[in-house]
Amino acid sequence: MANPLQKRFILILIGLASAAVISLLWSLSRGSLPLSLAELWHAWNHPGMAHQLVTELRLPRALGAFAVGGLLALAGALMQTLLRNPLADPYVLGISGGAAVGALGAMLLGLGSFWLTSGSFLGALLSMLLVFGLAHGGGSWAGRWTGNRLLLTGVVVSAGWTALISFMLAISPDNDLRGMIFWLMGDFGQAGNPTFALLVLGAGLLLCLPLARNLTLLGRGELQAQALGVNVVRLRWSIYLIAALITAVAVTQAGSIGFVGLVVPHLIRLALGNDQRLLLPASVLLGGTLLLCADTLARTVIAPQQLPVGVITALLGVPVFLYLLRRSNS
Amino acid sequence: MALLSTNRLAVTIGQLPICQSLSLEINAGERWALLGRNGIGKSTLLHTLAGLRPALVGEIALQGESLQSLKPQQVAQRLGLLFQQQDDSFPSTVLETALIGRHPYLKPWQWESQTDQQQALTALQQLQLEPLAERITTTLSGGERQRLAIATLLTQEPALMLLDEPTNHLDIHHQVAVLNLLQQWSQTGSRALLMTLHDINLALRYCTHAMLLLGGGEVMMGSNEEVFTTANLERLYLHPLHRLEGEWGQAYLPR
Repeated sequence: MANPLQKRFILILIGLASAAVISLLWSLSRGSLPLSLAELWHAWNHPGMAHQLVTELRLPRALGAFAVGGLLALAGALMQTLLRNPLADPYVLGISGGAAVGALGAMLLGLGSFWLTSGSFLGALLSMLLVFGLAHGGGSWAGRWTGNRLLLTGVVVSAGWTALISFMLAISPDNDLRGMIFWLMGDFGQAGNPTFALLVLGAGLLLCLPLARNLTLLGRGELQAQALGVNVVRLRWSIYLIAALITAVAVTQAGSIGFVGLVVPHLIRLALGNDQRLLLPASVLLGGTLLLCADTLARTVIAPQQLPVGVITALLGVPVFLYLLRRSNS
Repeated sequence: MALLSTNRLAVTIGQLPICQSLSLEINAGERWALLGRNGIGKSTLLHTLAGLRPALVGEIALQGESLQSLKPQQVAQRLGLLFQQQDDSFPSTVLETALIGRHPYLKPWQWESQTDQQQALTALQQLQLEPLAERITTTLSGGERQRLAIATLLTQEPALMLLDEPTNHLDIHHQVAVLNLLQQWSQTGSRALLMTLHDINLALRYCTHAMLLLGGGEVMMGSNEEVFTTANLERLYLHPLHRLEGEWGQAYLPR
């Protein structure tokens, strides 16, 4: 425990966790009925309308936003290392496209929310298997060019999904369009119970942490990692499966929210370095916190009107990221 | 016991044979030079010996145990490989980079100890890199980056080093310093190394044995005295050579 590196990491994670808790409290107190901290505490402990509002509406939504933000940031960090490409994000392998086709299909057929959820999850899984199967063909999974091949396969499959999405939007009746577009931009308005997403987030992080040092090495090249004793083929398989599954869960929960998965791992990397033992848990905490704040803004800035949360993540994320990038260059 | 031995090993790049039925044995204290023309398969052979790519036929054994029966982590404790190029896609410091050499000794949940840290710092010191410990690797010069890769390999503490052009990017002073260091390293404990070099004279000076890849699967190997002749080397490089001799030793110059 005396390891100074460990101490530093733990301090940073405690800081990020505190920020997450503060954001959660802030989120619970904001909305059509603003609450002070004392009122929030009172509402929490005493049954009534405020109690219902906080525990049944704001809390599940806030936790859902945190879970999705954490899932996307974790998946993004994994994908960037797996593909050794800084532009990779959780959606680069077409998972969001597949999910969108499933969800929009359910909306088009006028099916209920159960089918919408199942449709998007099945779509995400289908896309994951499709990309994996296509990239795997020809035995190149163990070869050197796998990263590029996987990436290109993903990009092409995504383009296919995009075409299908446009087709579905074009033939949809006007009164379905708004819901569809909100889904495509990412939205917590319709999001359900966050328990499953939170559980997946915890499990995903626990599975990844023992692999973290291997992942840091993978970032230095596959051959180098292998020469230092990493079973690269097995590692790649595990990471691909974990990243794809958690992305599927995130997309199912709230649609395809952009930017969090791409930017959060970079923010952490720019500020704290590329040690994955810190990068992965820190990305989860920061991603969750950012999306929680963004969603709180999305439902309050122009209330009672709600914005899709993806709009806020991009509007906030772009300038912050550009600023950090400029600072790190000088 | 031989640190590395091969039994009837055949390696090819595509259709081109690098070696056929190679029976090599590297023993403690030996330093082998691997020489050959560009593209003849030196790196491919090194990668095969390190288990990074499969051999066509034949067996490779490390300290008497078959390479295939060992876990990747066990291989990395016995054998270290210096690559021709280092990849720094993601930022990291010089010290962090040297510390990856301890990876083969750590369990999944284990962290680098103070001892590991100290070992990495000592290796950096040996290559005069200690003042740069906190620098980001992408800001290093080519020669500094190369020395860092060698420091990482020293931190790894394998019994056998396979080095792909260890003198790459190094000026004359650092070439000699690095090779002196590697020579010293190989003389302590039960260690050996095999390195590709493009400088015949450095090979003569620092190695005890040589393996010449002549192309078409033909390999010539043995001690320096057996292998280094003008005729062999001219055949190796397909280029005429002068041989000079003085009280300082012998040297070859291209005509």
